[in-house]
Amino acid sequence: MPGAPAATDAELIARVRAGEVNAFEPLITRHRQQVLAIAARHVPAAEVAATAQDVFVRAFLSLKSYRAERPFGHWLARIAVRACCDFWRQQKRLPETAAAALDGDQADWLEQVTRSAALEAFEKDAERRAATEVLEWALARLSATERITVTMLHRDGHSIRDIAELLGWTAARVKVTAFRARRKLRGWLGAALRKER
Amino acid sequence: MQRDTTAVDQVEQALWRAGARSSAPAFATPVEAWQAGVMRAIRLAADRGGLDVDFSWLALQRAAALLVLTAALSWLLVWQITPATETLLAQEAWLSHSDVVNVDSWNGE
Repeated sequence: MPGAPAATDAELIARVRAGEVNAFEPLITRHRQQVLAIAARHVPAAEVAATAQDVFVRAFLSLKSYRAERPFGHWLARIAVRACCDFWRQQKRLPETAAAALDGDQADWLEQVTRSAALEAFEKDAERRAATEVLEWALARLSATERITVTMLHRDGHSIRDIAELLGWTAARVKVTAFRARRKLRGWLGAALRKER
Repeated sequence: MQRDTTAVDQVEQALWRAGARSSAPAFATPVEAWQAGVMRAIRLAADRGGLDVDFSWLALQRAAALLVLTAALSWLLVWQITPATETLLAQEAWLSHSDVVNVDSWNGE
């Protein structure tokens, strides 16, 4: 109906709950950018589409547990973060994805950073790529929840409160998880640096 | 040691900065085609059984299971363990105060 006001999230959700499956599509259109952005920040590019699809299917299936006190977008963001955690949990179970050793370029980059007082060792594309690979190498060794917590806190700049909200944890649990993850990362980076010297 | 810590600090800072700078890759799949795929998956899920059972129903099931468990443990305690313990205690009390059993006679006196 042209000119008719768009249905609100609450109205669409009520229609889906009443059995009108197609009413879920406008919800996807409205929130897909947010979900795709979360997936793109936390899983490899090749897995973004599948993870985001999984988020919407999970949201549809558990729509009865959604309570309208909080916006639908927040609820969806929580599902998205949990889906990313689950992705890394599954990856951890695959033996072929065990963390490999650093390759030559990545090891060179580590050496370069420790020499560069200006911390400009990732200004060029190739160096930035090497840095991202080193970060990925270190993150791959963490557990799924440690990985998500530490990247949201230190890489993406989320607050402890935001992370607690997204993961459904207490702030204290977020702090403890992030602290342990960072201590592990520093240990591995230190060991890699000593090995390269 | 101090030099190692400084080096790790530098590397860690550089890594987080590199991670923050690397923008998320552009979504390669045409978004409309992807959304159509999502809707197909959702219709399939709906055909297979639809929305998950309501949380309150799950909570009810859990509460019922807990009630059954509590009842079973109570029965075990009240009707099995307690009477058996009481019988043992009564036997012991009876033995210790009974004239029938003279402990001294066990020593052959």
